Amino acid sequence: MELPTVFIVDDDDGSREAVAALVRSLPALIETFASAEAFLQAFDVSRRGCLVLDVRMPGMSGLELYRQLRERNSQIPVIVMTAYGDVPMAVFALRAGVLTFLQKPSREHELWEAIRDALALDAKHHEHAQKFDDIQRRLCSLSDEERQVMDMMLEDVPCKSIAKRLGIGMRTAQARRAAVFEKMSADSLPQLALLVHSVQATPQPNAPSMRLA
Amino acid sequence: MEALICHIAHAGGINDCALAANCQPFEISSQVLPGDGRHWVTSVTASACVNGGKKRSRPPLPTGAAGDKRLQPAFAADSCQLLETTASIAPVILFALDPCGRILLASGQGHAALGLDPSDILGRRAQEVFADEPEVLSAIHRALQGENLRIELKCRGLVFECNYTAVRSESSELIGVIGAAVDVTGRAAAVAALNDHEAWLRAVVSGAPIILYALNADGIVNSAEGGGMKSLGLLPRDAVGKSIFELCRHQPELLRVARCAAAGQEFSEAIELDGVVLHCHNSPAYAVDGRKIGGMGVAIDITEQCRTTRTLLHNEVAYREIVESVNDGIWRLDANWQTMFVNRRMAEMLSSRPGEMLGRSLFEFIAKESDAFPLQSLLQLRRPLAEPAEIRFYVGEGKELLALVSAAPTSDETGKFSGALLTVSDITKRKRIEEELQRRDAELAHAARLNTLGEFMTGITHEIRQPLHAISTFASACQKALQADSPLMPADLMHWTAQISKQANRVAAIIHRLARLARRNAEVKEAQFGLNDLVQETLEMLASEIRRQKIRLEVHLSDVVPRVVGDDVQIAQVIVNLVRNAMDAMAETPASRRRLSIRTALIEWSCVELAIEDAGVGFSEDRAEKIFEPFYTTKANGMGIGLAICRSIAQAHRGHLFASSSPGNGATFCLQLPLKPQSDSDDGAAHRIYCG
Repeated sequence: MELPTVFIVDDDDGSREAVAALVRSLPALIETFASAEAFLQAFDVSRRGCLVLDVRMPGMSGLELYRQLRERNSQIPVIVMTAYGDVPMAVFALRAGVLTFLQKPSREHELWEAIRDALALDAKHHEHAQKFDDIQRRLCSLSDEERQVMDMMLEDVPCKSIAKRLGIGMRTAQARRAAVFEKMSADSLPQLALLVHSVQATPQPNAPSMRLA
Repeated sequence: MEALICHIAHAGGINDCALAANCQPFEISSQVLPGDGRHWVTSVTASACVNGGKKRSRPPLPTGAAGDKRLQPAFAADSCQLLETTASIAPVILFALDPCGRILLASGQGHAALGLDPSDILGRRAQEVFADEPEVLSAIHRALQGENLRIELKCRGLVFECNYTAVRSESSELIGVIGAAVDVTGRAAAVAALNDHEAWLRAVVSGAPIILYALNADGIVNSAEGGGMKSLGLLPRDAVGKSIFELCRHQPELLRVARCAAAGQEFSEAIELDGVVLHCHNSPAYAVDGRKIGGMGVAIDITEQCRTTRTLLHNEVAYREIVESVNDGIWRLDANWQTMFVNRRMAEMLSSRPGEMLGRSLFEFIAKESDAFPLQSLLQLRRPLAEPAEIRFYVGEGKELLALVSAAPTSDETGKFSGALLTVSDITKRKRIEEELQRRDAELAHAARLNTLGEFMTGITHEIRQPLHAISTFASACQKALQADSPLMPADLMHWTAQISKQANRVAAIIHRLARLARRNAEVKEAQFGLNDLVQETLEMLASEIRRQKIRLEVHLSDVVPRVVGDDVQIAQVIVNLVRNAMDAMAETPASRRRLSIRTALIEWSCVELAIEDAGVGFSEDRAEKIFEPFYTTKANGMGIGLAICRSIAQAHRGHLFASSSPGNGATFCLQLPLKPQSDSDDGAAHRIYCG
């Protein structure tokens, strides 16, 4: 399995090195950057892992970096750290969707746990995305006729009525219904409904755009 | 005829004392001329020698004086001859002229003085003989007109007293002129000299402010002369004949003096008469017979001197009052530094009395030799002190007087050094107040520093949190590494623990700097420090705050900035304050234009300069000085003491702090510190050579 990467962006050399040292005890790769700009240049949205980000840096600030990541549709979990720790900033950061907001120095293991949780979340995201892709793929494998039948099945239309509405024979309708169950790997109608609903209800990774000052 | 001869004799000066000594008086007849007071007046009878004058008849024998019968025969033999002889040896000229002026008779030694021989001029006309003497000619002319003259004539450098007498016939017809001229040249010169002298005396007396006076016993002024009369408003003749008692009737107090003066008592006394002060030296006046007849003397007008003296006296009193009433000590020393005079205040300051201090040496009052150092230029070089010196005096009972002393040497009339004059003010109290003020200033500076630090606390907290974060994270990393069976190398652990130490040191350094800035320091510490280092250290604390405010920081530290001497904490305070001000000034500036430039430079090898330039609102030129005034502020929450304290710190370091700006274009604050502290005295050598 592909190892996630912990990206560390901090202008303070000591902090950067320390976080990197901490991550050494986790099953993850490490990449460190001294500025937000350097990170953005190197980062690929498809990369797995999490981001440990300092807020106050010369040049682009941590929160501005976060906004740009969102614009690029990155789902990477972000841990924001600051040595200033003012409450309004923390509130703002969390509202904007930041996973964790930590104050420097963090309490014992707090940072370690935050990184671990972030990586777990990333893994969950990854799993979720894979499942999503799978269902999508199955949906795509349905023919248009099968799709018509499935939509009516999900509206709880009886087989006889489906055949009548579509103007096909009862036997044909039944065969298509079986193909839907087959292709969607569903054993029952409720299961099928759950699968289709999970794809349609999952929000597209297209977060509302944030305006950061 | 007798009368004629008598005239001749009389006019010829026989009545003159000098002639009388040479010529024995004789008497031809017993006739005595009336109106003549002299006892020995003689009348001589002579034969007619005027009328025609061709032959000379022998005069009758004179009859001698009653008491001199022995000589009678000789005189009788030829009295005319005798007369002629007498005339020939006396400085006289006897002459007779006919109506035309022909000389009928010319006799007397007087001719010789005129360079004439009587025998040569006989028969010649007098007008011709004296043609070159206008005065004589005029007299002859008048005489020949029948006028009787008694006149003094100058002739050939001599002076003659001449007597011309017209001789008339019985019918009143002029038949001739007879006369005599006596050489009075000597007498005239003496009289002239006497006149000159008298005029001189008179001029002196009338010009001088004195009165020469004489009084008779009744107090009547017999004479009063001299310029002093004018000041009394009198002319000399106004006083003469008046009573002295009358003159001073308005001033009864003078009557006693007037009585003494009239009585001829000897005294010398000043009196005031009608506002004029006269010093009278009176002495008795005696008559020829030795009788005291009154008083005389001289009175000298001394009004002006009196006024001057009175003014001097007044001034003296006034000055003494001033000297005694001033709140400063005044101390006069002689050439051996011994006390000649002290005023009351000076003695009070030293817990003494003026009388007790007289004659005592200055050094008895200066506790230690070293305390006299500031007086060196006076004591050694005999020069005035360039500026007042602080000197400790010994007061007794272990007490000391701290005084500010101004001193200058004094010299006598010949310009020789004669001692010194010191003015001494007690500054014990002032010093205490100064020290108190200084202490308060230090406290204020301390408070301001804490205040500034408080403003920077967010930034400073950040500076501490960063390394703390690193420490705790490294520590966590170590723990995790040790818990797990991860493939960690001991080298990693070594590196991380080293990092922990390093970051801990970083925290310690920041806390140390903080503590130093927060230190309560009443006195200026003197130590060498590098301005560049101090700027960097200070900026480290401020950097995060500067970053937070999105200010671009440009630091240019010159490589050639030498170390300076002073209190680095105070200078750091100045830097912190100036940076804080710069940041505040840029609060309204768009983030892209926020720029803080900090430069150090060496200026002319004499001072180092720290310039802090911002891109803030700035201020107008006329406020460039005002902003340094205490309690002047443009900030809503400002105390207005930051810059005032900064400037006082700069001044305490003998440096300068100034600002330049124009509204909207930012401001530049310059702190200049001298490289070497100036020595307090250029005359250090004088300090060493002092030997008391």
